[in-house]
Amino acid sequence: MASEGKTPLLQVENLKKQFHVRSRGARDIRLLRAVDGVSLHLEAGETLGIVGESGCGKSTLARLTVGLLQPSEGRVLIDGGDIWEPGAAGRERRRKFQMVFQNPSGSMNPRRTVGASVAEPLQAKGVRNTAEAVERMLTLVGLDPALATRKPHQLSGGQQQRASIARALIADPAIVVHDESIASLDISLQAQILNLLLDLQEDLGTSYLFISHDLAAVQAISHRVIVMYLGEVVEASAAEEFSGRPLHPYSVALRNATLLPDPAHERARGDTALRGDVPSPMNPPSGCRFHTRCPLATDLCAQQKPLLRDAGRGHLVACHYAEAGAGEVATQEGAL
Amino acid sequence: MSTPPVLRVRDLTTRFHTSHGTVTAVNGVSFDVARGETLGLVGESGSGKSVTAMSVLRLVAKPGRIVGGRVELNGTDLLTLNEEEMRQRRGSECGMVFQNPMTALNPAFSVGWQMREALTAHERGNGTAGRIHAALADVGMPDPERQAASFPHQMSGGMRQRVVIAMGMINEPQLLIADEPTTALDVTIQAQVLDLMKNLTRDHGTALLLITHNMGVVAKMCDRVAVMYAGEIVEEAPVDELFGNSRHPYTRGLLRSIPRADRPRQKTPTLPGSPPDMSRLPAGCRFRDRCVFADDRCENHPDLLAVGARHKARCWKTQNGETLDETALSQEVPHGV
Repeated sequence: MASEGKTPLLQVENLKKQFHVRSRGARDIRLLRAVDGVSLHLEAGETLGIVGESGCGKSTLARLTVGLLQPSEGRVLIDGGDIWEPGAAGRERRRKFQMVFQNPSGSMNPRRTVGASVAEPLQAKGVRNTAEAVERMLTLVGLDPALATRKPHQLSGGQQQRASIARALIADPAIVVHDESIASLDISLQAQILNLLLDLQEDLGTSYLFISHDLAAVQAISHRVIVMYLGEVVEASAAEEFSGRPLHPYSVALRNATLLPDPAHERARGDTALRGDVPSPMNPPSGCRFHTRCPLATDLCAQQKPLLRDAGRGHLVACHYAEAGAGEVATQEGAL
Repeated sequence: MSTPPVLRVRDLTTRFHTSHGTVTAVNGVSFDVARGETLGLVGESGSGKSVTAMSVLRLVAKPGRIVGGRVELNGTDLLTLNEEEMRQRRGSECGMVFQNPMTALNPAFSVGWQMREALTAHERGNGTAGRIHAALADVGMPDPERQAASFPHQMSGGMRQRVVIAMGMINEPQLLIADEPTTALDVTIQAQVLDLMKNLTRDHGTALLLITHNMGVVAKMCDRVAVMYAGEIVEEAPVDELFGNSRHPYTRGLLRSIPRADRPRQKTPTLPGSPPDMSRLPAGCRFRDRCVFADDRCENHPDLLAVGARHKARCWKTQNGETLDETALSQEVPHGV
């Protein structure tokens, strides 16, 4: 997907991760394909949003990308170099990543001060005097630098997440991976954090991989969007193009299931079309993995797996019938 | 309204006595829910919406205590009943659906066994198996006979929440209280479960008290909405009126700060600051510190008063007929905390 022959900042090639699962009482070990052949790229200063429901593999993808998990197959390249290259080269590359987790209180050591936790990535790089940098970062994320001497439990949830962001950014990483980083915050705080991330990106030029189940939040922050279903990418597109015309029937269903704060619009819409649950990733359906729930599915879909193809203007979709009936988002009249 | 409401709550006050002092989690809350009506109780964490629901059911755990007010269900004040009388009403006159279907169900018993318990706790008789299967079929469970024999861990999250709803509805209660019923579910499953709840309450004429923080859920489900902030209702209005013409700065700011799935990348207007510490509430209006419209009047605590037909707000400004100027709300706030 790399364009114009230029090496992108981050390149993920055909990434796969399988877990061996033994269910209780069972003798056999089964294979759970959490991430099953994902490729993506991310440019400097760009935000790539990844959206999907539970079990789609988005969190495993986040851990593979930052090097918290080793892939079963495939490669993660930063500036063209493999993050799992043995020795110092690989180790240096893995240091270019930082991660912000969902639960801010669980991601900081409760017995150390906020300042000490924020300083950690710098100390790992061998920097001795961190006080000034900590103060600068806390101010940058909208916190009073005096909070550096507090313990995490003395901060509110929103303040804790700001501190987590300060920690992620302090050692000047190339890429910050957000795994549901705003999901546990109240609505009024979610918007504050989203705006903060936009401003910080403008100032520092950091790239984000923003992973969330919340399509609205992903749309608000991303330049490009990827939709995952059962370990695979089903659609990838520029965010503007995607918000106007989602192509994959699953993306359309996600969009239609995302409620808008607009009573007239919500009343006008009928019952939601998508039936059933996400199938088990231990035993994914044949052919197109979405065919068991898809309103457009035919025999072809059960037999033949659709490949990710360009449907025009770089909008990638893995569906035999994407142009036929998809893209029909419930009418948005009266919606702002 | 000619017919009396199914649920009538007046001046409900619930306090928690802790080592850090007394917290009034619910402070003088009043509202009605009529037959066939859905009232949304919305607010952020700590606003007191869940404690209000638990207080209606008299399920507030220690150190919490209901210290005042009335909770009338079909004209009977629940707060005057003894524990046995109250227990008989829970589940029969008033059903409940909680957020996490895994903890609402007992992992050691089959779904059918638990539903039979919910049914026979209130009446004995024949045909319980048939009613259980009918209730499961009502919530869209395929093959109810087989599902009744399964255990909660054998089901998906969406299926479990259907069981919890079926249990809440099996005695055909006149009032159903649902506390964040779809928050733990994926969006495509959430849509299914909400459709189901809407159809069920419509078919049975159930009064529904729906507690949620999700304004999209409110837009889809509710007839009227009460917005809570720091233990109080700050605004109450029919749903279209609330979304189209909110008369409290908190509601207005909250509605503006929701990112929308139909918009491309952009900044979302924000509500600065965060909700107050409930053990150290400011004097006067509790929203004052975060309010762009605050002035001298706000040093006094405002009451919840009519600002229009069926529309109440707890704000000095709108009670005096003044408008909330949108341009003031749009002022850029640098990452305020």
